[in-house]
Amino acid sequence: MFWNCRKPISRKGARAATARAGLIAAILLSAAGQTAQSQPVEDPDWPCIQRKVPEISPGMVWAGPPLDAAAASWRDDPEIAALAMKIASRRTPIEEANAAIKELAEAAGADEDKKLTMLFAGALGIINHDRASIMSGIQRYATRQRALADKIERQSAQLAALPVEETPPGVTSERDDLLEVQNWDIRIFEEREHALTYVCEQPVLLEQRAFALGREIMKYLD
Amino acid sequence: MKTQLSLAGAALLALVMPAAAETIYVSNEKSNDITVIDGETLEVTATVAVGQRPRGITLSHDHKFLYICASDDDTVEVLDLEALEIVGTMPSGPDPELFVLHPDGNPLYIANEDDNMVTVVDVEKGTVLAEVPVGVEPEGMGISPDGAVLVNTSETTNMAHFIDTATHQITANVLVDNRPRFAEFSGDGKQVWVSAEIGGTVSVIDTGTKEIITKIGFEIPGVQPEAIQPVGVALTDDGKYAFVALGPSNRVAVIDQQSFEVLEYLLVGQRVWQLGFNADQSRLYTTNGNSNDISVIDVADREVVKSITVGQAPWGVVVKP
Repeated sequence: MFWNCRKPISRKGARAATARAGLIAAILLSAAGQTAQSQPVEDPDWPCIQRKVPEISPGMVWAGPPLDAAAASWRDDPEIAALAMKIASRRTPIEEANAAIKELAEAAGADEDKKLTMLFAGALGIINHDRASIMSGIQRYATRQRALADKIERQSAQLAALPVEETPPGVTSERDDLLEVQNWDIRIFEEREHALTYVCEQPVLLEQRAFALGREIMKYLD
Repeated sequence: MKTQLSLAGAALLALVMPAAAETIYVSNEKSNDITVIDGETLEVTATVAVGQRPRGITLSHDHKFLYICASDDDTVEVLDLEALEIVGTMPSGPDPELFVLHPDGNPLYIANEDDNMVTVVDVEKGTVLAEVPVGVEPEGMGISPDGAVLVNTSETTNMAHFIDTATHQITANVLVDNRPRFAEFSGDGKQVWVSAEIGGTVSVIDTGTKEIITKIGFEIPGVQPEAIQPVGVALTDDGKYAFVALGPSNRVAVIDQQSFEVLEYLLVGQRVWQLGFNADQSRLYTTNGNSNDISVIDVADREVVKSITVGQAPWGVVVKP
């Protein structure tokens, strides 16, 4: 699509683009430094400020009965399985999830604690599963970003080697073409970098949900 | 008529509960405000906008003012608790994070995270009395009950620095575990408890010999060890209990102050960092930075009785009697 809107880039624009390419290298370097410092033994490719916690362990969100048995059996109860899916989903407003928990607690009778524990085990299992796939997505995102940064650096080296030529109107030089490509790459890089803050918040939001559900369910335990 | 009735009701209430005037103040480092909570009803009564990134807070001796570390504004703000308005600022050095007031009410000792200094400020004159160079990234601040000894911890140097408050000289350095965050003296002044966030321990230091008496470790079933990050420490004056906030494990450890044995781990809120008692130490409040709430712990029952939603990323908590 953008091939149709080619236009020669001014020298000022070219200088700005080169400066931005340098900035990108600096961002990546500082991000790598930060990660290395705060997590000496952990994944150096993890791009988020938030510490990489592979999964939400039960003890961080639950002080009720042990979840081991419930984690193995919740899928066998269709009602519990459907409800766990519902309350774990971020599409379900938390008020609605709380109402569903209350409904189960009131209808469960003598099995209340057992059913509620199964419900939480199910919801936590689902949330951890979703969270794991989001986290591997973040990792892929970071890998792509690193590759793009390398490409921009290579372009800068190529550009430095190309002569600045005067060309007739409507005709672009090799250097202009490469600058055009680099400009787009930089723009994509910057937009992705900007989105990273949002992307990194996603595992945290899931932790908050798991905690809120655990707290609500524990209210009904005897 | 209705107004008169409710006024009469309020007067009656005041007669029935004369001692129920406690107020809880919470600093919220992301929403840049202070949440005010009625200690009796546990309802939020006001939210006051303050400077950028409010973290450590403490009450003036006469309980008329709240001092606030506005970390990103590089200043300490003074909030008038009657009017709920900022009435002044004090010099603080760069990036003030946590501070402690001398038991006599003056001066204020401020940890400056960015320039490796403890700044000593006269709260009446609003002037800097001294700057004490300490280790890298000073944070935790504890003062002995008699005010003679100040203990500051430095996050990167991993030390507890003992400072003579009369001479402003460091008299001893005690190496503790990785990233010490908080220092708290026991009621009798004989021990100082220092938490280490990355080390995952609390060192109990004898203030006489400057030796570590014991290191308390933590283990919570169903929680990975790296999530157990001790930060805030609170000790009951009767020598009975110690409470330690364990960060992203979302738990507060309850410890026997005499045997150093961990009695239980209370599930509070997400990323619990700081702790604050009420006046008679019957209640402990915890700030939970990621669930944006505070938890109320009944000290005698060792039980969480309520959570109260506050601003974004609650950090410090104090209770006005």
